[in-house]
Amino acid sequence: MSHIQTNNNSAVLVSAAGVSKKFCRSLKRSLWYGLQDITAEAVGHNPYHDQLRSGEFWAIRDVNFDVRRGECLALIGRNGAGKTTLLRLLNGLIKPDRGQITIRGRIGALIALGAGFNPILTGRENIYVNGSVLGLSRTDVDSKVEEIIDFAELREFIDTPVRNYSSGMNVRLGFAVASTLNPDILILDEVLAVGDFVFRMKCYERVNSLMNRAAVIFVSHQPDQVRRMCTRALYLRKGQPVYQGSVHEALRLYDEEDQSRLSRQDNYIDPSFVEASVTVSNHTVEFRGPLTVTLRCHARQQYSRLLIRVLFFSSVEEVAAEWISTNHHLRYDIPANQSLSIDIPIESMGIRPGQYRVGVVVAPEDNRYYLLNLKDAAQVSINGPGNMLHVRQL
Amino acid sequence: MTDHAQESLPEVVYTPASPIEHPTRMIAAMWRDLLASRELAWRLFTRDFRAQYRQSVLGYFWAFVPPVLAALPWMFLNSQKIVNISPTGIPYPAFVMTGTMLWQTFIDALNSPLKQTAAARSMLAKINFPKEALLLAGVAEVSCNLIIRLLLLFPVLWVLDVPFHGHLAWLPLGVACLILLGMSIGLLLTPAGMLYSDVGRGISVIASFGMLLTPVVYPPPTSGVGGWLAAWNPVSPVLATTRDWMTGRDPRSPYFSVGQVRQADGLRQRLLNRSIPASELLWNRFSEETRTNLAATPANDDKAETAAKLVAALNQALASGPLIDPDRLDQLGVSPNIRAKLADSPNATQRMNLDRRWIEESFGADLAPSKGQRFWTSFWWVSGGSLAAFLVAWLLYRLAIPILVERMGG
Repeated sequence: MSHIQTNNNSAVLVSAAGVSKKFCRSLKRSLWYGLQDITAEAVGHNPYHDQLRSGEFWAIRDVNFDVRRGECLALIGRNGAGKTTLLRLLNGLIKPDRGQITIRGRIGALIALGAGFNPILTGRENIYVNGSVLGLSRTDVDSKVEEIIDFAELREFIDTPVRNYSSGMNVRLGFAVASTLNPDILILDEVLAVGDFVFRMKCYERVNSLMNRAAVIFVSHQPDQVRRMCTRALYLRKGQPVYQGSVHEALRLYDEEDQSRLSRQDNYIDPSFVEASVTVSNHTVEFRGPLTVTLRCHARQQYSRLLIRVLFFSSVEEVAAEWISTNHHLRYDIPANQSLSIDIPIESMGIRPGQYRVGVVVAPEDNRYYLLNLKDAAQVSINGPGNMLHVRQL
Repeated sequence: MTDHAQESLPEVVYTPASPIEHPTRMIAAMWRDLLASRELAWRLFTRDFRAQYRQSVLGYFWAFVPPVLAALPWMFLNSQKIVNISPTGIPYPAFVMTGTMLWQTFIDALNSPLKQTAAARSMLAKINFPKEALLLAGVAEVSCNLIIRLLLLFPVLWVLDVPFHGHLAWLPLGVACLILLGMSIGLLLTPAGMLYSDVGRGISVIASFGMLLTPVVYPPPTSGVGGWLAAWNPVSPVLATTRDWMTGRDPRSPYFSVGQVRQADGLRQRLLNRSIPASELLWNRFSEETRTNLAATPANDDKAETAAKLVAALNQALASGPLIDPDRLDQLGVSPNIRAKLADSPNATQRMNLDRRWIEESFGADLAPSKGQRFWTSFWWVSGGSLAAFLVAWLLYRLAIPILVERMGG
């Protein structure tokens, strides 16, 4: 993202200082505490702000950050790490139990797309309702309604009740309205993954233009998006800030956590195999340098003409590159009751420099099921320049 | 990218502290949000209104079905003499329909804050907007339903020969107080109601039961438990006063109303007995026609008709000028209370009220003291009280919303 520059001269628009928030796991207790808290608010003194009552825990604990205009802060962490809670705190929907949040300027959230939509009313009517809920005046909406309809690509359906819309159309309309706001602070919560491919590209463009002049806070599970859009990242684990700083490092830590979750239990080894493991010739490879992946296995029965795939994961779900034996006209035979070592030579590791995990899949020729699926078999890091985003066939 | 205009950006700070620690700032914020929420409130109201009627064939019909249905059984029971409802002064169908309609408006207002807040649950959990919009949209909805009902009710009143009167101009004030009272109670209960569903259920149970404890289908009783309830139930004075305005009766009127007559025949007997000094004094003020008319009324005549005749006669006497003769206070049995006020040089209206109270005291067994005056005073107390309660409830609501949102989930 070339347009984003960290500019220390820009004013801090969002500032969180020592922000903590607690929640209660039990519904019954939480309702009762709610009643207590309302009374305490009315009296003007809440003795419970600072202490945990029975059953409560810190959903967010001691979070600090500043975001300036032009910056984009990524919030990353697993589900339940407190990202959404943090966004709700920033939006003023709930109050912090400790600390202070300062918001300067108009805040716009691309979170709840289509809030206030009534399914019986037409798209056009709902544009006005949704606009009003988001704080747009009637004249604002009047002047933008045609643009909104065009952006959502819903001109034919705009006078149809929205309950006849597909979910994609609904979200498109919601996005079109919400993105007409011109906020100083923009909150994005993975909404970019809406609609079909073409619309997604339009969304990216629109969001980019909003990001240019805003302080952005972005929540996503997609490392690729984060890497492209964000200037900094805050990594939360169970409500605690684990790391704040470079996007690269935050994503690496996040991926480590993911890996430890995946562990070996997700590997699949067919019962006919006594053992299976993978090693690599080097843990560090130059860009476009060679790498040999070695599979050691011992099977009780004989297999012939097997297919082998080597996968390079940049994160848990992202495959950056793969090598398939069939592309190289190779088939492998495994004899029964014999320890075997298969070397797979990869001539050129032409993938974007970074950390990768190596996975190996062994399947029968027709590739209908796995015999081995070793997801987290080894680590390799690629050194050197280069900036290739796509999965390449090696 | 340096932006010097940033200095003028509005700044909001969120801290754990309760906004109530800075009361003036909080009141300013409430006022600002109320003003800012008008447009959104209108949008939300028109959204719900359109959606409600777009998917319905009968449409506005549903706005007046509940009060009419509530009134019908009472009209039936009363016409069959299954229940004995004291005279109402206007045709009973008109009385009971205005009553149920006003009661329904009160109930609508009572339910409105909780209903609106619960319906906006998902919006509240995701977007920060002025919550006052929900309350205002509720007021708009309640008022709109009321207007639809009035449009039906007025032709009915006209058909039933209920007089239209200048007092009708006060009707907006009456219904405004009724709505304010309902909204205040409803709003006070909303925070707890959003947490516990028991509150919503409790409201609906009490609403259906409360109609019987409020002078909706019967005129306000003047004695016994009923009288006590009518005096202390805050809805009673507001509802009764508003109904008076609607049906052409001045709630402040010093004149007698038919509802005050407890025993029509007993009262007639005592008025005819001129050995009682009070009866004699009144008899002298009756016109010749009235005297013959009263004397000729048979004892077993229709009670309501007799009561109407008696009230007309008494009002004639009241209108004829000062009744109590200051020289015969002892003989006329004037109470010390009234004597004290007579000595206080009352004006014409005050004098007339004193005369009426003297008659009420003299014929206490057959004639109940007028509720109108007392209700008139209570009306203002209740209105003032509900305004204060509303402000408190509004403040509480604002404080409670973030805590409620925490428990709503996304």
